[in-house]
Amino acid sequence: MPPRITTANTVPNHSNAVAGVSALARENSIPATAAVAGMLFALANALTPASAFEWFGTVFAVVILGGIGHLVGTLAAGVLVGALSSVVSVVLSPAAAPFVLFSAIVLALLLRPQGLFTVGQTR
Amino acid sequence: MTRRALIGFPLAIALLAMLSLYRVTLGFPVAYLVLLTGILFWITQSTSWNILSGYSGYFSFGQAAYVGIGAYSTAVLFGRHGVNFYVTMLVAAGLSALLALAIGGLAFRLRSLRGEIFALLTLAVPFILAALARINTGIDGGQGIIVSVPDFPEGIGLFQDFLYLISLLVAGAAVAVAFVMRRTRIGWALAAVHDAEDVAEGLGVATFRYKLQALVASAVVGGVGGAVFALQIGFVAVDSVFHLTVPLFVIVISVLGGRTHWMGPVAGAVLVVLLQDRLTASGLGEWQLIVLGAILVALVIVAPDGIWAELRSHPLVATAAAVVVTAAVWLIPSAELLDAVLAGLLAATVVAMVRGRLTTPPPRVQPAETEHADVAVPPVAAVPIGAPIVACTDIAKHFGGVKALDGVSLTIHEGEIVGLVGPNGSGKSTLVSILAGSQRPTRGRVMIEGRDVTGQAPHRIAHAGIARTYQIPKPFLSMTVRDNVAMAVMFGRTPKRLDAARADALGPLETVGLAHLADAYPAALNLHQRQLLEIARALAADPKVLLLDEALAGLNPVEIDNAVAVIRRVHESGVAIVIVEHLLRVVNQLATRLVVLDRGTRLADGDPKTVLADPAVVRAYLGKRAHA
Repeated sequence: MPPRITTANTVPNHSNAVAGVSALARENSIPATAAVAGMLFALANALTPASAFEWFGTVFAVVILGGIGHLVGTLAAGVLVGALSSVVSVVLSPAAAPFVLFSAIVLALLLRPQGLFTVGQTR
Repeated sequence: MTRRALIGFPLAIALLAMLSLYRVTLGFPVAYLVLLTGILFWITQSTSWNILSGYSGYFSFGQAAYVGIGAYSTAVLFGRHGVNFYVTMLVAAGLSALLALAIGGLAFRLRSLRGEIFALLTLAVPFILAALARINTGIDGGQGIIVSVPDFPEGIGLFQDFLYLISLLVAGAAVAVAFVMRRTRIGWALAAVHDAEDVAEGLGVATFRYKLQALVASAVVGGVGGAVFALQIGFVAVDSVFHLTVPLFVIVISVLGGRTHWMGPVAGAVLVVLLQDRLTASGLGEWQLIVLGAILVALVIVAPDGIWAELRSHPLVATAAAVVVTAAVWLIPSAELLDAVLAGLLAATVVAMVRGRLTTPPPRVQPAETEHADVAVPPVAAVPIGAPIVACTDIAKHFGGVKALDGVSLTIHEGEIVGLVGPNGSGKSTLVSILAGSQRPTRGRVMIEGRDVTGQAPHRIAHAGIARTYQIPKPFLSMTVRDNVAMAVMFGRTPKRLDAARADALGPLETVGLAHLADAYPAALNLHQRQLLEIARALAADPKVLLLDEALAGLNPVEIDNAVAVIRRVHESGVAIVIVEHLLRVVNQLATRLVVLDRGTRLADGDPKTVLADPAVVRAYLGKRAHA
């Protein structure tokens, strides 16, 4: 049976950009940035109204991992999340990507709840 | 109330069951049974969500995990391997409980767990499980599983009847669990966690245990509901059970119905599912989702506490409106029964809401002047100094590179009032947090009556005899003043029942002079009264040492005098006190001993007069203040 290819994994390079850009959009509350992300996404993927659901988890995860309110952290987390899911898609299988990605997110949350790149401990 | 529920609840279940058992006699259409089964599924899932997230405020986005585990337990074991269906329900409950234990055991152990971290953790779990099911051919492999019809007792009728009855049983059990939890200790504990978790823990509530119990109960209910769902859909695929609409729907239903009441999810599920069904039947096509969304948004905005709260506060008007409108709509020739019911339900909600806005709210309790102690208090406390109660040695606390405390030792004896003073950032509040157990020291030991309690959970330290107040009062806003204090009695060293705790709560309230406001809600209190409430709540925990963290901040001179009198009364009742304070006038008046901290170290410790004359203290603290 051929591996099921999900929309999120069709164009790995774009996943990076979209995750990062839409995460930034959330952080700055600038809907325009999210719209740009949406445009990029639409250029590269088949579009259905349900696509938003797939991004719900990823965007939320990127913001928390980057540390709420940390712009550079969010950018880095976006790249990291995109890269990880692309690498797993290629090396293992596209179906395994969400498993590895979200397992990594759970681990990161448990080990560094204050965000991946926040230095020091918050009170 | 409890008796009414004991009679009313089985009666409601029996009536609903009769709809199926005497379906043919009653002429009840099967289509309605299908709709009711759908409503029952959402009642089960929303109640499951509400048990944890509604009661405790920890929003979970992982409801699909329980639905998925339940559905796949049944699909794989019953659908593929022919295991008895009822056994698969048990397996679903067990697996869900295991998952909940794992999530809770990890997440609730995090000292810095915030709401959004928990939400994200629970959001990630269904994604992981969905991927697991998709990869693993032993579970699904991406093909989906057909679930056939199980054997069911004869005399029930159609499979749809069986499905309805078992859904009714599961939903009934779920609501019963939610009801019992709300009415018992765990419900009070979760409400306190919702309002102010760290305060609850500091008063002796074992928050970790109660949250974990709620999470497991929620998982079991959700898992069993998921197992029944597998029968309902007949074909279990990853996308149909692990979908994000499950948690979103469940949250909408619970919030719309009302999160704090066990009936909230029931009312919400009936309204939302009925609304969705009618809109689908209305021929609006794709527009129906837009209409549904708009109605839900409007309802949540106008009734943020949920429709059940509105209906409950005006039951007669709501029922009358429902009956009249239902009857009126039914008389319209083109209208169906369901249209009439939905119209009645919406009308009842709207009428109850309008009625609630029109009637003047009950007069706010006038925050009367707090009772003043008219007795002239002796200037120096006549309580003899006794044996040491709390001893901390060489306490250090580092935040990254910042040393908030560096090797501080402090002993508190029976009958003392220790004034803890120092400039801002000298580590006073950190020391209080470490004594109360809400922060772990980087180094050093805390002993209470010779027992090492370093690193123990705050509720254990509370039971060992330390209580604290907060600089910014954090009352449990959903409870009356009396219940705020009763919480501390209920979950104290010797646990008490609610009635006994409420009676015991009056003592501390009288000590601080708040007894006349016992039935008010904290929102009606002014700052001074809130601070007195903090003290009363701490006293109710029956402490040996009371930590007052800036309990006089922001008060006017009259209030300060009153607060000083209260502190004296507390002290004379035999409680040792540590008072953190900026106002030297007050500390001078009260303290039997003065401890001065400066930049994380202890600068001086001793008789107030001697300490205040110490040149080092004058330089570090008083001098700086005088120049400021």
